[in-house]
Amino acid sequence: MAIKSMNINQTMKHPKEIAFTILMVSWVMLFAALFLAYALLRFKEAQWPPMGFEVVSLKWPIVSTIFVGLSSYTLFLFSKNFKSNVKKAKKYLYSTIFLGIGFLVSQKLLWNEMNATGLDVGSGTFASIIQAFSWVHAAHIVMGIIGLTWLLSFATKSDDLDFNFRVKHVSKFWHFLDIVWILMFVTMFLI
Amino acid sequence: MSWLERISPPDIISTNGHLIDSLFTYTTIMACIFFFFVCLGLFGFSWKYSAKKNKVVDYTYGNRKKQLKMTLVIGLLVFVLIDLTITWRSNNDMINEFWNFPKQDEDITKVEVLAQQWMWNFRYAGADGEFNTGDDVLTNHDLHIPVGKKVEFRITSKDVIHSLFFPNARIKVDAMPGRISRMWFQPTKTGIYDIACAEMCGTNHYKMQAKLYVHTQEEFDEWLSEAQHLATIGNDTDNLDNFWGWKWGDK
Amino acid sequence: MTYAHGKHAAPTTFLSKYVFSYDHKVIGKQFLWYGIFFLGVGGMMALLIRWTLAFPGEAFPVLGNLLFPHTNGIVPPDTYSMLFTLHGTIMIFFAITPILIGAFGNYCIPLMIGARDMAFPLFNMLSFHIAVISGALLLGSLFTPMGGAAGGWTSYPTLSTLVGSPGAGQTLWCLSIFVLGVSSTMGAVNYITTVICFRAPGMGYFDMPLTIWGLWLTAILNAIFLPVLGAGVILLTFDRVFGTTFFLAGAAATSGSGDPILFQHVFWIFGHPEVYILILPAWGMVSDFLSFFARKPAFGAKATALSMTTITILSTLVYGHHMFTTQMSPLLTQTFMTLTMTISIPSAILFANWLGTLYKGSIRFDSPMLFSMGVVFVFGLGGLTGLYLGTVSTDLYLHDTYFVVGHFHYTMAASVLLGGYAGTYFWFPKMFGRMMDETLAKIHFWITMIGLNGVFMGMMVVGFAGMHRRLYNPFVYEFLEKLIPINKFITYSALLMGVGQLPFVWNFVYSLYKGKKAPANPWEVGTLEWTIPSPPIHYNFEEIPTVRCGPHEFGNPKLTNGRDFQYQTEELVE
Repeated sequence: MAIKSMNINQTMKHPKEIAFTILMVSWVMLFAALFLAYALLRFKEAQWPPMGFEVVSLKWPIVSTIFVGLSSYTLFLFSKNFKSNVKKAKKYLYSTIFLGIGFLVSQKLLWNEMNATGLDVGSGTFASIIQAFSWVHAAHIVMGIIGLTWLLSFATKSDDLDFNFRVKHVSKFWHFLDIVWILMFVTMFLI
Repeated sequence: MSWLERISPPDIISTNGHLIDSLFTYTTIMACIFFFFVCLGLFGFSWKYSAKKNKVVDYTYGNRKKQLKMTLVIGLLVFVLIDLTITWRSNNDMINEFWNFPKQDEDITKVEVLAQQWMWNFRYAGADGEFNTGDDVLTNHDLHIPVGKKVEFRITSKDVIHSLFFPNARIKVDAMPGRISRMWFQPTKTGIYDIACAEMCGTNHYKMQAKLYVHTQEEFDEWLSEAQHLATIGNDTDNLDNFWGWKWGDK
Repeated sequence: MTYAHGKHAAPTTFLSKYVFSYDHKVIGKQFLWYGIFFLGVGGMMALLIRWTLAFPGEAFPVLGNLLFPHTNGIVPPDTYSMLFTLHGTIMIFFAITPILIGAFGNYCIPLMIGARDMAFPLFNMLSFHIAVISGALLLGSLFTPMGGAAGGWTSYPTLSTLVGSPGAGQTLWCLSIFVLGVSSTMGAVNYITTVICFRAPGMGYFDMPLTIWGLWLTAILNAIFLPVLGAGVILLTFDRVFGTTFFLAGAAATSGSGDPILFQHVFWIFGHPEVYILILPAWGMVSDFLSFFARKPAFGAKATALSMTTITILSTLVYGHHMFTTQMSPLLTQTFMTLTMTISIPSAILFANWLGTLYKGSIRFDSPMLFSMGVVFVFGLGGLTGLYLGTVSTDLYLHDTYFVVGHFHYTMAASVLLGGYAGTYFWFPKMFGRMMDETLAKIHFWITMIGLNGVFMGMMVVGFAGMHRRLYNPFVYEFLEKLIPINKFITYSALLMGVGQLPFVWNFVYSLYKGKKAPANPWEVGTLEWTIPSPPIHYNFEEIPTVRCGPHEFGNPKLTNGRDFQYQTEELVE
């Protein structure tokens, strides 16, 4: 079996990018499994919400959506600016972090409200799926915020190759969580 | 007891149990043939081409044409003899027999089954022919059915997943909380047989057995009328635990 | 490439050398010890289980009184449930996974593809340490007030929820599996990246040894499907700890209605690929070793790699055959049966290629070869008995009987164990620079082979006779009483198999210190790991090798240098 002589390394992407893509696949599968669970539970019921439960008030979910959407936007602005404009970039990064924390707070308020209106986790699958699903998502948001604070030293490192990958991957992760939340928002609260 | 009796499965008491045994036999024959060739290669080549006997090897990765041919032949053999035949036979058996549940107006024995840790509860409709009424015949651990008549079970579970297993009829189906599963067979032999729980259901899983009594129609009628009589005078209609049944609907 | 991967200095202190090492070789060995330890634990559990089945109500000899003082040495029923649950969990997640994937994956991937280390050494080290935490959680669960998990390794709800198993044991089990999932996913990401990026110059995918193919496909399946199991056990943990109702239904659910079958779907979406996750590395090794010791190029190496890939893809589509008795819709059932059956085609090609490799070879019966041929034999049996279980109608009878137990032990236990031993005997000289004793190895092989066939064939026989799984005392059933002698036979075979591992343990420990010094290339094969001294230096390769030919260049008649094989670094003689 003769070999075609070629230097594969030149055409390759950086290992960190490949590794991160695989990691993202793992995360997608994690959330896909949760969505599958949700779908199976929901299609089993004749109507949704089941057993005469009221739909959840949209107030806090909408606030969360705004927070997470805005944070994605500011993070996008940060990754565009962090090499050229330190001052602007700093503003964007901090606002992303604060919006992330705001998201967590709005989630907590959502859970409080659900508990207060009788939609605590023990009340059935309807509340279980919303709460548990958003817990898992919120846990990832916490990881995301840790990732964001890890970018705070950007001013001194913006030329470092590794640091550039860090910005890229934390952003990808954050946008991914944003998309997951929007999917959750649409499937669990809107329809 | 001869060793052959020892390793053979229990007697078949249903009209369709032999289908499973016959497909098992066919699969076994195919498996033996294919495994024979694997062994022939493994031991034959080991004997013929050991380093002592054969110093010069055939330097080849296999030629593409030959390999394609070989792949095609083996693939086709496996596909036709194993995949196609077994799938086709199993599908026929399922559609014609095991999934072919008795029609609504057929004269059958109807039994509702509730599995719980670690007991089988059986429910017959009783004198009024309706399930979940005060005159239902309730038994546990004992299942009585008449020979020669189809019997259909509707099965659910109270706590964990169990599995209703009739070794003599070669079938089982899971009893799942929140779902009603179905099973039917037609007994052909009278006698007393074992009913088992096949799904792990806790510490005393092994004790969760019941007995199947297949009677002649007369014996069964006698048993049923007595049981119905006892039920009408003995059932505690205030005890809500006795009302675990449900209407025998068309699932 | 400018990116200097795995850049770390040679460690000097004990801690940095043996505990917190970044070196893939050390991490591989750590996984090996870890796996062998749990293999011993799981094996002892198997003997306890077998004893109970053959001699119900009799005290376990010697150790019984020590382990179960309250019952005079008899295994109690609740302990029995814990034993088979943990036997399954430990063997699958804590013995086979660390040995086949953790140890050989870590040790062999960089060496065989000509890399200096894994792509992310820190990640690699963490992956082992997280696995240790997971093992500690599992062992710790045994010492909780109500004992360890007892719902079977599949831990189907509602038995595994608070309805069926109160107590912290099951919760710790869930956490342990989740943590192990994190560890394995990290490992998998590392393996995939390493294989994609750090193959030595000149090495295309089809020039990789088939071992690497097996490990690589395994890693891909791991990265994709472990998170699904993760999601499942997270939901199960929520049900247990926070009172959600995902898997509760019927009278068991005080309110709301979940679905216990949901867990089975999620579990088997992961669980079916998992059996291939375990077997693929063994297939890869066997495909290599058969060629190495038949002194002949691997017949249809490309077809073998492609068959393995096909099976990997198919394995993701067939999980439903584990759930035939839950009465899925007939359409789904038929689809899953048909897809399951198609796996037989690539498997048949795999076997044909293995036998084609032996044909007209010059076979040396060294211990790795014996074990590899053992794999072909037992996997033949295991694969063919899968046909009965993939068929809906025969599965009606055989589901949840010992036939299933026999089948998956043939595929997952016997084949993988023999494959693991083949790998151990083959790479021991590379790992430790010493040879293992061949005579002891051959004794080990034959005893193991006779023992395991006795055990697993016996299981299939009693399964066909109707004995179902996970029974503390099967002989309370009248129709199973006749099986007592066969069960005794299985237990004696299991004891024989257990005793048969003693030569291995002795051989391993003795050779570690006193074994014959290994020559540079004891098996005379040409893959990259044999181009460097054993054990390899800290950075494996002084200079990254350039690959010029495939891994199976044996018996080329044009070779003139007195060898019958070529190193992968040499230009193919034509």
